[in-house]
Amino acid sequence: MTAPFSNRVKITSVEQITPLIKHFKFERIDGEPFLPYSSGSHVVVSMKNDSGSHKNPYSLVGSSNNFMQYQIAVRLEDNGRGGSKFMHTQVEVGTELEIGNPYNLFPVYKIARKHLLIAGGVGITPFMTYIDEMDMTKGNFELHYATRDKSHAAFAQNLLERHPESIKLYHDDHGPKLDIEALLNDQPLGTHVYVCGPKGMVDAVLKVADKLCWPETSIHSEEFKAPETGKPFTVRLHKSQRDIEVTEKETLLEALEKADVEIPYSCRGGACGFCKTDVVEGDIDHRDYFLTDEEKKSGKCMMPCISRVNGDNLVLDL
Amino acid sequence: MTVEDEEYIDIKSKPIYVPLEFDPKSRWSLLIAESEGLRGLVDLCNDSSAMEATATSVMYAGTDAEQSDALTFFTNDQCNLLNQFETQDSLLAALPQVLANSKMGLRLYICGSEAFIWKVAKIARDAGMNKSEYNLKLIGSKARRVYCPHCEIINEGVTTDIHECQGCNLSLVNCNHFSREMSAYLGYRVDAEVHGEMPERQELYK
Repeated sequence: MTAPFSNRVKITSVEQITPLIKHFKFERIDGEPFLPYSSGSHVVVSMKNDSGSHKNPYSLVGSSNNFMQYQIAVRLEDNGRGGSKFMHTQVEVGTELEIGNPYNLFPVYKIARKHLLIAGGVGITPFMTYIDEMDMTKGNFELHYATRDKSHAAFAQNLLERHPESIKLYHDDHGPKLDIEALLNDQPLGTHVYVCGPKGMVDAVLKVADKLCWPETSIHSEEFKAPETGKPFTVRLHKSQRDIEVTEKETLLEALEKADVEIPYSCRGGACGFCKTDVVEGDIDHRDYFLTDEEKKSGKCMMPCISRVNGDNLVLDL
Repeated sequence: MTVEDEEYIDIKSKPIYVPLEFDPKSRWSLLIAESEGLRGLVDLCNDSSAMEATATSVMYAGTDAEQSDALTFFTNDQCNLLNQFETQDSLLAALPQVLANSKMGLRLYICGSEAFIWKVAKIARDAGMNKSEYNLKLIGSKARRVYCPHCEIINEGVTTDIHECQGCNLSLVNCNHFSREMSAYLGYRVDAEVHGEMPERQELYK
């Protein structure tokens, strides 16, 4: 599979919905419908500007019944590598972008008797399509949604109006706090928990669920991990006998793409497994969620979208 | 295909039973047995002291006389965990409500005939439990439930490789394809290709 970038799109609406989050709607330039998608799906948005190119994954937040329009919500990341800043400062109605086909790493488990959704901040985004699905299937769910204050709770008003009984909001600045242990301690048999939010929240839910003996198969998480910067290094491609420089701010995948080396990818956050690449030599700094501990130890493969190398010696089987 | 050939074919859906072991990653244990399966639960509790601490109830379908030693084990002076049912059907009818009142962290330990343990497993699955949350041990009859795809009924208590369907009277051969959804093996017409050509029937699943 090659890079799934196939849709030229045009922004039809931009709305600042919280101090940090903008809500974008777009349609295809050719006027054709988009692919349908399942709840929890994301798309990768491709951006090009003077400072280089960015490809960032964003959850789809619009109605999955509207095939003419996709919607995403983007949080401005001050310390990010520039993608969200580009979306916030350079994208307006009429801007043209390229997006990939939807892909789902965070699906709803339809066999669950109850869906317990836990969102932190912009982690609300994948649950927008979940709640549409709950509406359609009359699913049994609860959403527990924590933000720093009321003004940062994107989509909260809309959700509360639709489901006043099933949605609880928590704010850091006042009122009761989300008590994960108390919440998970008292859930009926057949519940699945889904968490999307900052790393601290995701880790806490996974830890508590495990401690309270939830089976692994009933625990689901999504954390869009943005690649972190690292020391620059040179990668040698064994088969094509090329050397490629990877700068401090670039990921290995981005450097390879810039050099026209095509690698399949989807999430660009170390979760989906598409970009798994064979390693000939090198002490890999694994940062992904995809490879098993054994695979990581073997040193024979890596995820170039997010992982780097310790030291300066990396040879890939490309 | 003859029945003997099946021995050499790897049928992935055929249940494989592993020894019953206490799952240390559990908060509560619900023990369920019919008839002589109750002995399996006693063994399980004897093997693991932690089991007794988590056990909430023992649901047992059968009579006192059948398993008096095992019954005493669960009804001593300290505690009475036993919840006894006269028939399997009354136990199976009561179970959904028990599970509906239960919380995440429960594990089931199910002992009894093959037909019984899979009926219980189906109720557990319907309650949203997955296979890591319930544990099955076959003690007792291997008599099969056999689904007839021709008339869509399930034949109970089949002990032979070939039998006459109680619904449509066709002779069915039952194979090792097992449906967890129906808790039954698949049967199909034995003389479908050449009507009237019948292999000899053997008793295999007592």
